[in-house]
Amino acid sequence: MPGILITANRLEDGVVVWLATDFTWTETRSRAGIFDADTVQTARHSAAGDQTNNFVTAIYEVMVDGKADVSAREAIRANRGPTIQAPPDRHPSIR
Amino acid sequence: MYKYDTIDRDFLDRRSAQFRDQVARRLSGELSEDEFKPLRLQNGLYLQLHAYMLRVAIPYGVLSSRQLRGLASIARDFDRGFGHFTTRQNIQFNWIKLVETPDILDRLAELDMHAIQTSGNCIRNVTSDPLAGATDDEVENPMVWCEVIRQWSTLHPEFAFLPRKFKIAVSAGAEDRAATGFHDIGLRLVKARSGEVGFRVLVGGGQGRTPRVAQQLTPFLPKKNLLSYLEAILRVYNVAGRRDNIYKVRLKILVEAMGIEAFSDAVNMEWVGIRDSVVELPLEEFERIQRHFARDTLPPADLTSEILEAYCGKGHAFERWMRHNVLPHYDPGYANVCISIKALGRPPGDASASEMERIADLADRYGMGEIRFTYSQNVVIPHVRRDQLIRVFEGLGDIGLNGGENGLIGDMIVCPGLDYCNLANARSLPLADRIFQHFADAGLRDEIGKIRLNISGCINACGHHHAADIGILGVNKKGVENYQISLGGRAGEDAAVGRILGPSFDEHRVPDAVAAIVGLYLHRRKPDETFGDAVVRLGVDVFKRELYAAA
Amino acid sequence: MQRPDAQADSDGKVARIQVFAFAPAVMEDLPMPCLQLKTGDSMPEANILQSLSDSDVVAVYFEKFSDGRGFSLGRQLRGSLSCDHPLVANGHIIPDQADYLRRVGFSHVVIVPETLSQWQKSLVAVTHRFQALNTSPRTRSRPRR
Repeated sequence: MPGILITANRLEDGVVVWLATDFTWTETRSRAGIFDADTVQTARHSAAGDQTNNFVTAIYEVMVDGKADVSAREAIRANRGPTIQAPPDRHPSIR
Repeated sequence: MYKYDTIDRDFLDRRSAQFRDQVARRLSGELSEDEFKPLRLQNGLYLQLHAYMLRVAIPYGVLSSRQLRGLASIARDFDRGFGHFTTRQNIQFNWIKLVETPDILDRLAELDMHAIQTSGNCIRNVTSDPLAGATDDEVENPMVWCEVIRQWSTLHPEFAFLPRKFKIAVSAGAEDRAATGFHDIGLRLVKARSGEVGFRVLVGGGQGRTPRVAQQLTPFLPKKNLLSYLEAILRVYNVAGRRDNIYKVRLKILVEAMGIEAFSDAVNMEWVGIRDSVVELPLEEFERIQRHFARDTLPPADLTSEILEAYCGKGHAFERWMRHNVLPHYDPGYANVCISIKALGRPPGDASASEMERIADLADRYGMGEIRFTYSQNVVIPHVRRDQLIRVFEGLGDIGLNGGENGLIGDMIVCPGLDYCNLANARSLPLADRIFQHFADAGLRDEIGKIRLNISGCINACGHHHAADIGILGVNKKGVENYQISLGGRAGEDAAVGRILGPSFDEHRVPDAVAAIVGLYLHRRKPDETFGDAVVRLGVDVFKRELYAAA
Repeated sequence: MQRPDAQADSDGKVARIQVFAFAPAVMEDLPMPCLQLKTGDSMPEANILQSLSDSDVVAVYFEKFSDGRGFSLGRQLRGSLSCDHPLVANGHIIPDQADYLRRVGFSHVVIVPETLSQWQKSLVAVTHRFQALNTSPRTRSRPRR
């Protein structure tokens, strides 16, 4: 089912969030609401209100085709981290 | 290196408190996002793909072991345990919380560090030669002038809201190791026939969407007039820069549009009114700064038996490291050690907290407790006694950072790309690893020799792909990550912008494309001819034909 | 010459404008500027300034706070044009710019009264200066050679 996701960063910590169907913000991509032509206006209005109230910032919308994210960018964002392995923070024995 | 005094420390404390107040005003809504954004950028805080990103200033790439340990602790306490070394010789952290940033700035202030001028439309962290003050091919120590410029540009009231970011680099070596030709202002310390030292001033260089090599504004600027001349250039830019068009906003476009002659006239008109005025640096202040960079007295080093002994039986890896990563020092008993933060299976430029701590330990034990970040995203420990190089090599081996890759094909400059960046079109870090895997044989990398392969994830060119022998640019082709290849760019004295070869490749085909280009070079090169020189001799078209012949 | 835009509050009423002088007095109202410039204007001809009387006000209007041309204009007016009139910044400016505005030569800003304390606070938040060092705290505290 094609539709629209509304996503943003939470102002106080920058964490990526998505607007859920109940118009709360979720940190989990799979709980994001997918809005259609009927529901998207109300969702936008709610999201904009949260931006005005300084809860989120940098709101934008993503077109989706069903549940699959269409771009690499959105997949990486949903994964909350890079697609490569970070260097290990190990404690080597000190000579 | 420059040591903070009570004035510098008091400044950082107040600055940090000021930002705490600004964050509170943003959270309460007193400041809008539009108004807050330049204020947070003035403190190094971006909003990136995953969260806020904090870029900490390492002035001209120089820091102490204590400071590096402090950065490691910040990585561990406020982020995910690692940081990323940038091409402006800074470090950045990727998952920072706005509400914790004032605490981080306090922590940095305790280390005599900050995040000022690492982002936003201001004069950015001045960059320089990572071997400054530790090499004998320099006219004089450029770090003195970097520090002068750093202080002058700090809280400059006129230039806090420039049309766009503004980058200055200073070099003093016979070899330009600071890419001065690709900066808004490039300063090269030169000695006139009279023996007087001054600056050759270049303007209007830069990469990004419209790469340009800087042009000479004046062949010789007396040192005493540096600050008034910089003010004049900046004022002309601040007034006339194209604020109406983000693609035309950098100094390079203004210089090109006006022509270097007219730009020079405009600068001189401003300069005439402020030359030799209160704007100039007082001599006593210059001398105060200069004293911080006086050469340390190095204990005499024994040059003979131990080194030879150390070589014996340590094998190929140590010889490679000695050959590529041990750089000359002004004292023949000493060396500057380049640590390659590039190795198979690790993202170029990323280093973990424990790796930073180990590097700090090695700098304390075998160097003078000083560390340099390089614009090619590596680390240098200056002033290491030659007879202790083997111990440094072994110490680095414990953390897997004893690769001898400096200047070779694995030593790629790579931007964070789509894995981290809001602006990127394509990933760069996984591609770098793919290419490295393709050249996994160290013997092959040695045979190829000196070559610069750089990767940018978008046209903003943070990965310096324009200035690379082989430049790779990530593009978005109908929603799929693709990569353009260019050839023939160089930084340094004879700076040049690379030329795009042709249609782009998907990520799977890039390593083969690179291999085809390199293969042609290996086949056609003359003895001792570097890749860059071969491209100049043979011409880019020869490589282009080879690359697309198979396709 | 136009009166600078009065800042309207959310109801559309015109809020009382307060002119905040960096030192020492606060004026309740801005005298009609005799010369209203905008950021981005080129420097006025010297004879225009000469035709003003000493108490006449020169104002620079910021359409957007991030338009840094106003800072260079201030410097140029005070510098090569030797303007010694009251120099007022109006339009979109924010308290965090207070010290920068003062240091490039502005003597007054036009603000809404509610922000006065924030402006005063910002003015002293960071007082360090690293330019024109002959007059800076660092070199002033040292013996002159």
